[in-house]
Amino acid sequence: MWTLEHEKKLIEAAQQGNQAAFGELYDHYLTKVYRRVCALVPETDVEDVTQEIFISVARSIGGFRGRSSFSTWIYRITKRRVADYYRKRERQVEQVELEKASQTPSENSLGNTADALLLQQALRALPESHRDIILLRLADGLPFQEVADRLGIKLGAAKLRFYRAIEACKGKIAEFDAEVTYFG
Amino acid sequence: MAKRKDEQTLAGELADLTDRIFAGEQIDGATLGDAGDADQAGDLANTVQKLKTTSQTTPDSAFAIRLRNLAMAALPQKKETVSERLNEVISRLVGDEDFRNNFFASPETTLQRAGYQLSPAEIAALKEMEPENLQEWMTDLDERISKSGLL
Repeated sequence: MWTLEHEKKLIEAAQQGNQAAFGELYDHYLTKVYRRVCALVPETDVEDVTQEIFISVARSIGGFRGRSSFSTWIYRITKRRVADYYRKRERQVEQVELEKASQTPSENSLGNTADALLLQQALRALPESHRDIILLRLADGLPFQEVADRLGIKLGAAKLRFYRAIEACKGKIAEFDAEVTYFG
Repeated sequence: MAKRKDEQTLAGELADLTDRIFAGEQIDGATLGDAGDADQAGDLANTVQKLKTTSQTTPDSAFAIRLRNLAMAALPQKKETVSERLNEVISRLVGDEDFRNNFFASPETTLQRAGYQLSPAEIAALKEMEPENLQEWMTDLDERISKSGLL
């Protein structure tokens, strides 16, 4: 059973250079981070971005002061690395990929490639509060009550925010899909 | 045409559908909005299902192992002198009877369980220490402390 107290001890040990403690933190967070990256980055680059995130976490864990929860800190690094990734790519390149994918649909672990790219594009275009609640429920797989606790809001408010986020995401998907159809 | 529901009701319905999707339940197409109820929760649950498929993937095990090793190697090591590490263990051997007994019964396991990361040379040096030597070391320590006027 993973507890915050256990996590705190592991963080302190990792900050002293204890690799076994860091390994345990890594095992706990890898899939969570990986799923967030999958939701935001094309499949071909998911492993590279995940790697950059964990190297950053390892190098900077000494600077973690516990002002926020460790998960919040890791997800902040995830956001920054994903943003860096997109800064390096030109929008045109992304557009070309999207068009290519829509012309040659192929099934993979993420489902249809074009669908996956559209979903990623739509998620990134959402306001942070919308994207966060979608990732907490769908990437982290947290039940709504835990999502509400994590965000410090009531259960009903979490469900309403999730509804609005999905509605907004659906709108963005339609918007980007229309762009591809128009320019394709 | 279905009557437009209020937002709170739709939010509750979408949350229920999301929970069912996560429980692995097969939800029929009509419920998921294939019937064309564009503003109903089922229609949005379609988007939920797609997003879940996109994000619920598991990293490849070979990749996970490779990255684990890379990340652990990137962890900065605290610059600590050998004497600091050994001093910490020896101080504990002096002051903690259970730890001392366990250590002399099974040195490696005791050090590992206590979270001490010592080099093989340091462990070998500690293993050479007999309980009697430890007593001598403690006597030396007492004398040194006495001479320093701390007692």
